[in-house]
Amino acid sequence: MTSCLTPCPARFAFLGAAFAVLLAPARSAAMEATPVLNASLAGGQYFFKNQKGSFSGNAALTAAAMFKFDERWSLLPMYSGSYQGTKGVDDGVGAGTLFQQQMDHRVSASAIRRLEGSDWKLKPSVSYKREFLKETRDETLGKGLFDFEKIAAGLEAENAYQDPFTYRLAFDVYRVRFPNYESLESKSGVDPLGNPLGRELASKRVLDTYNYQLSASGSRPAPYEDPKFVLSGTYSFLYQDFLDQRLVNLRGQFDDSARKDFLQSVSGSIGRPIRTRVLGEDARLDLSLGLSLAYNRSNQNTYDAVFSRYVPQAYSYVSFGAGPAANCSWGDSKQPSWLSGSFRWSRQNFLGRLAQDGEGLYGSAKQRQDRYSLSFGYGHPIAPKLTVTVRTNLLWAQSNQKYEKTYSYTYRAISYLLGVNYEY
Amino acid sequence: MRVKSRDAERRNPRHARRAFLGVFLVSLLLPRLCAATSITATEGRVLFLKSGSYTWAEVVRGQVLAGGDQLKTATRARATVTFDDGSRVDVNPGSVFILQETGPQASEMTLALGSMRAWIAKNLNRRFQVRTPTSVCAVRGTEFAIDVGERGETRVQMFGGLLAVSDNKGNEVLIRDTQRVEVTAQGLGRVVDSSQGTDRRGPESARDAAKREVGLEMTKEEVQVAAALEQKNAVYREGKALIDVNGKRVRVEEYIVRPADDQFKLVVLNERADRFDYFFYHGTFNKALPDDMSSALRQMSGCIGAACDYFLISYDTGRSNTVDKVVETASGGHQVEVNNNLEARDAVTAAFDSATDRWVSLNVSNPGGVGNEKFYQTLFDNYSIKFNDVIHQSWTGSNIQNTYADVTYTNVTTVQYEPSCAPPNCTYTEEGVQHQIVYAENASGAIWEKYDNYIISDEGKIAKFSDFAGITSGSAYKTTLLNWNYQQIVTASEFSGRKIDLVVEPKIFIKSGLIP
Repeated sequence: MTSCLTPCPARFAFLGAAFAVLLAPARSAAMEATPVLNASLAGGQYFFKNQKGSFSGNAALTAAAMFKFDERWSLLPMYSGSYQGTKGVDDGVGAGTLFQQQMDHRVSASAIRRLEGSDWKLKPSVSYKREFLKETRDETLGKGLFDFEKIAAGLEAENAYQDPFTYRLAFDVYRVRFPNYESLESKSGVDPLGNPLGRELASKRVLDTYNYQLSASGSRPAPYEDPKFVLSGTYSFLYQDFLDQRLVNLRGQFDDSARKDFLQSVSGSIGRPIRTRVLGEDARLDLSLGLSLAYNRSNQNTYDAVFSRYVPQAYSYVSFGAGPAANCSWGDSKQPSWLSGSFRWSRQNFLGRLAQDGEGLYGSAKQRQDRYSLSFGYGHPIAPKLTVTVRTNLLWAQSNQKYEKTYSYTYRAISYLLGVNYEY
Repeated sequence: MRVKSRDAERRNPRHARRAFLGVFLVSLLLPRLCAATSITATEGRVLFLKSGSYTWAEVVRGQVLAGGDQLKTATRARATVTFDDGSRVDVNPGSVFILQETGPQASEMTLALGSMRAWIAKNLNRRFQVRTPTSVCAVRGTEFAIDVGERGETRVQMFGGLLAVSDNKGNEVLIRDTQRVEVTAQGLGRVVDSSQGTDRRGPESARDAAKREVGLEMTKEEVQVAAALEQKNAVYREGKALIDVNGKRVRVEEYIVRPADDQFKLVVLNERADRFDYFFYHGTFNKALPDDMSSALRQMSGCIGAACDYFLISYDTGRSNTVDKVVETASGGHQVEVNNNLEARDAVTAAFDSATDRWVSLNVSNPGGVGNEKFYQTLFDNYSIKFNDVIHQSWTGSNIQNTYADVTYTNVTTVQYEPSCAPPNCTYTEEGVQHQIVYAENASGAIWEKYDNYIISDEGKIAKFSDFAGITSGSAYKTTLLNWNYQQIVTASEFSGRKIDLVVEPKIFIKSGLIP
């Protein structure tokens, strides 16, 4: 695949055309509309190392409607948005900033086309997302450095071979753009002596990417005829084309070729639903164990100007993860009380990045980080469709990277949220 | 088995009369086409047997059905039968369906084999019945599915409303919402909620299907957004986004330019929402630099024991806010052993050891004398520092061996100390925190320069003295300093109230000699 150093909207054209063709014969007669609404409000706090953030609130809304035109055609337009005033334990905690507000809005439309005489469904979809992030006092919501927008189109084929078990194949193309982020070097000009401050071939929009993702996933009962377990698995291949990020060479200068990343990931889980009794009521206990493996191969290198160190394959890594989860629900089957807990361990091993000691001195070992997360949640219905929820997350991170002047690799973070959830 | 809607037991004759009149009027107004029961959708191979006929034929969409007509769906085929009141039956794959009667008073059908799902409009004046080999289901205004096995066993799945289900022995049970019950020749089974366990056969309700699609969409979104956030985290890991003492975000980029084989240029760029500042250090070495410059750059601040292999012969360094500038230039660089040059004031007691890549203390027991640990440093014959092109300090010399004795200084400004001056225009340290102010001026005070030096964390907090407690040697101080950021605000008489405000990694200033 060739690199593209300018926006390439044509790449979406074929998906758009496919979408239009698939939608064209849809008929509006005898249409059924099924709305889906999920709204939540919560307040909580975030603790990082020995600091604590102020008490703040989160809100989220998902509104969708499934329009069923006939047995073959359905359309699912959807809006989802959220405001986050409390940082979560996974929100880039290494950077350590406690003050964070985040808001996002997303609109999407998916068509669902059941293929005649088979269990296959085709689902073309398009979506647009805009995320706003305020991390410092001098930033305003809407003008954050790391605000981004994502425009995506995709086509998924799903085979519901034995409801609710399916297997799915999907291809998605999406562009991620950080509208407020340009490299400083690209706008550096000349020094007071008239010499250029930037390197030759300095790139501008270094974070923007075009992404192409192929994925396959499936689930099945086991044993097939008398199911006791649910098995599910996913494989994904993501090709990331950095449109305007040139490769850094051994001399710390730029080569005239662009960065490309290839991320492959595999994950699987085994689940065991158990009927039991809680507080004298019928209950369902779902136990599961998940495993994941990911490998990112990047051709980009970095040059540490402070320590005059060339770091090859700086973004290539292998990561693994595993952990059990349990969810127990009881009471009204439509609006049960629930209690959940999960634990997850993950390790990320960088393939080129070397660990540094506390003074920044590079060693010979490759950088790695272990993360252990523990989550608990409880929900209890207080009115029709309204559930009060409590959630808490704990995260421990450990690493052999001891140079933490710019980013924390070893820390503990805790967050808790109390709130209500409305589901229709 | 018998399945009966609770609504049927609450029939009200007056309501029925009104409804009848309503239906009568509407039937006069609507075109005749609407009153027919017909096949409105098919998928796959669906066969049709007209009442009184012996030949099965492939059905066509729009086929009107009359009493006695039969449908057969193949393994992967479906058919939708729509009634004149909007009620609808989906006949699923592998089913045999017989429409017994269809009219304004009643609709009756038989499901001999297979499964179907029905959406029945509320209509008090109309009876809707589904027979299976072992049961009759009389329903009104509800949504349900029936599945008939080869031996006649029947499963009823509810999706909304309330049903009374009875078996052939007269037992009755109520099922509601998403409950289901299975009836066999032995009678009624246990009522279970189909939302529990692994329901492999029950069709989804419309809402469940919609929620499932929403869930799949959101999961896909999470995966895509994770890829975007990874880019942001990489920026943080590389220290390109910091926060200064005023709580403002400072974007930082540091890199090296190679203008010529024997030159390098270290550049630090700072951007805040309302300003752009930068620092650069451009050095020319005694010979061409290798691709991996680290071995050469490590020798910049001097070498222990022997003369440096690589050393600067000239440099220029500058700080600027794009309007104002501070530029230092030096030339005529050469190596001098400074610890035994009989000058105590330039003795070096702590240095960066390029062999171990660490700061170490040197054995200088006889400063100003001889016998000390050797340390080679580059001394320059010519030097100047200018603020907006106005010289504040300079010197000249020729092959100088001692910067105190062998050079001719032109000092325009002199550093002012307490008690001959008082804050704020004085050299002093703020109480308890690592904030040092250095102030220099000329005799009249008309030409001056001021440096506010902060040691700060990535989150903009000023380091306390306690963070450096117990540190007595220069090397230990510099080692600790490496874990912090260095913010330097420069103001001068030539800047007209403006400032140069730089946040850099201290190692850059240490390397370039700006932190002695």
